[in-house]
Amino acid sequence: MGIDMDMHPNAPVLLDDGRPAGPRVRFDGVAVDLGGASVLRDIDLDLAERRIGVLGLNGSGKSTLGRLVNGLVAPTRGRVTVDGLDTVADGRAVRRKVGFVFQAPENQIVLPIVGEDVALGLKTLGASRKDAAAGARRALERFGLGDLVDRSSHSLSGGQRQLVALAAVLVMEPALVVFDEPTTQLDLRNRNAVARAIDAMDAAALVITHDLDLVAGYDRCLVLEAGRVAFDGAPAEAVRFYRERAA
Amino acid sequence: MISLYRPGATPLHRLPAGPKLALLSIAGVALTVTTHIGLLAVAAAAAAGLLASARPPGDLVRGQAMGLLWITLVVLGLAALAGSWRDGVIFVFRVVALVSLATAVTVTTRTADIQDLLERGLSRLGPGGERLAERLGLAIALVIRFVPELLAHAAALDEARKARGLKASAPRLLIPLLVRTLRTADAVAEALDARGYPGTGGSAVAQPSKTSGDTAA
Repeated sequence: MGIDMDMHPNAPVLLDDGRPAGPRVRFDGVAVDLGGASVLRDIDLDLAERRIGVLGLNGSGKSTLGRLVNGLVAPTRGRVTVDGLDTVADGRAVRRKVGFVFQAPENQIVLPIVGEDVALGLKTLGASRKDAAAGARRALERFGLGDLVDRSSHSLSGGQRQLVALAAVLVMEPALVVFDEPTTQLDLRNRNAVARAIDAMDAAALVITHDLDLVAGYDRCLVLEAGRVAFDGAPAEAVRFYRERAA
Repeated sequence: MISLYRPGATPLHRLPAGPKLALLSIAGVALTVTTHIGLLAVAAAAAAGLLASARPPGDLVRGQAMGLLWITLVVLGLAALAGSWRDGVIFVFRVVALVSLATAVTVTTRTADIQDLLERGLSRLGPGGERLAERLGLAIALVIRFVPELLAHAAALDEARKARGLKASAPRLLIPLLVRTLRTADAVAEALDARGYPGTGGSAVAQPSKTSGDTAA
């Protein structure tokens, strides 16, 4: 992977070829308890690659791991930081750096008209109504969804919803986007469209998925098992490990 | 209650939301106080013409026409029984005019424009008014956005009941619908938190035992 992890904890990370890697996400002794049960434990990670996959069986703690990065869940023990920002103490700043695409995009698209929903993030960042509307249109056009700008959010197909949800996140120009099972509900054509959209992103991506093909070209892949990181390495080995464990 | 806005370039589309809502309010008052059948007939015809000029989708017009037809039949039937045809006709013209005008405004006005208008109006109430207006505007938009989703949930639950050969009953529909509604509200609150919407999350981060619920979803 070619990343020097021994540098100062908050220093920017560069790949061997000089390309900037993603923002540096550190998990230091993180554990999460949920309703008396341990969901994650003993998580120590230093993530800085541009494309990171997270695999694991249902209930292994993948979604909780992703939510920790955006600050949607607070660790019970330990600390999660993004470029040195604590996800609990600096929640708002972290959310400007880290976008989140949920498994069910119908709940993520919160406004009745597609263009209005995509513009919401820009308005949150302080853009005027006019600038937000123009930015939303540009973001949708980038995904070939320009004709949806005035469509009712309710009328979108599953694939369109997932891409609109992604556009609504990317319009805020996050440094990292966490995807929680982005292809689970999609047919093959829409799954491929989402995979291409992730590949084309300038932002780094942490992709939680059951779709083993999706992570094939990624820089790093984690496998979670019963709340612990059971494997951390290259995608091909991670997939092999996961297949053996899931058999 | 769903977003009925349809993009277009008609004169009504170009008219700002403020004047449209003001004229709708004035027309509503005028129609309510007028009892002259001739005037009301002209108003109903004019309102229907105005709606047609906004080029609403055919299925929307057909749906509303069917609804109005039922109201008309019921009202005229009751009026006939009470021996007061005139009152029934006045009511029908009034309703046709009001529904046509309201639909014309809804079809030609984006939710965001109505939201902005509301926010501008409420923000004049004083300190904190802007924040309140923003939240109220978002709450209204969320209602418009999620009513069709909840109706779809209800239809899916009813379909599942039929597939299992169970008899229809209110608790069998309402209890799971309530649970799904609460889960949807949680998910929407979490989505707003994730997008950094002001007043959600931030320093008040969610605890691991639940999703954050400080958003008025």
